[in-house]
Amino acid sequence: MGIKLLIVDDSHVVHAMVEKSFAMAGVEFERIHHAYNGQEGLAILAEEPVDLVLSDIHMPVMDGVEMIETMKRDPALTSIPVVIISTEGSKKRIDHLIQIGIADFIRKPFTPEKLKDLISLWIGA
Amino acid sequence: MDLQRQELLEATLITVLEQFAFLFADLVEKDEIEVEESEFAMVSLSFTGDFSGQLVLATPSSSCVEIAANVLGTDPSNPKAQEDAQDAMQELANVCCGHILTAIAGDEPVFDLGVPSFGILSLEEWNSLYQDPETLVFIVEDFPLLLRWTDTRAS
Repeated sequence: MGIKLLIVDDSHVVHAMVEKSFAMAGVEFERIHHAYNGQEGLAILAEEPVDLVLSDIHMPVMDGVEMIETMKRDPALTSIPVVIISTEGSKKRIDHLIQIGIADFIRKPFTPEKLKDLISLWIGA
Repeated sequence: MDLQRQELLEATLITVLEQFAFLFADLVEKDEIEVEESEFAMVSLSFTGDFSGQLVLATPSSSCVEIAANVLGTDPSNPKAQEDAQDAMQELANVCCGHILTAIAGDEPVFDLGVPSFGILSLEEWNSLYQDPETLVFIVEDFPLLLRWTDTRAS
């Protein structure tokens, strides 16, 4: 069975960059879902749980923090690893994200190798 | 602008452009460039926190497409690159601003970044930004890119 990924970011360019980077790193997915805010992300997860979520923090409608907090309250979603991909550089804010349950944090810009390492670490593929 | 601030902005922009878009930039003197274009794209991004300020990036509109193409790993003639040109500039501003703030203030302070605002500049507006003493001029591959950073902490 292949890996199912959900990308949550309000920038279409970031979606394309993530997909391109995974392709460059030789990582293949059964399916990649795309959401452009936390609310859309939760709607996709309600239909089809995934193996890994890559999410931005600052997004319109619903930000990444609210999406993660909602996931952590839902027994069906709480175990899905969420990795934040953001420009955030504040230690205090990253510590808060760890407290609410993110699996990992990657600062933009990212490399294909970094994304590949994520898959090894959180999916074991 | 003092030399230390200029070097910090120069080093950060060059690193971010290289990692984000695989583009190589050099800081140049203001009398070293001439532009033939008449339309320019500008992104501005404000931030608040321990101190507040604004980042402005500007480049000829056609160069936005080149940036997007590089980011997406495609050709500038690809409609996707043209469609995503504005988004690529906004994301570049976002990444630049985050990294410049860390370079200036370290990782302890918390800053809130606004939404990058995209606009079109006339040649006159471009020249005004270009002449601003706070504006740094870069040549990215073969096109000019202006960076203006202002903050309430700047000396």
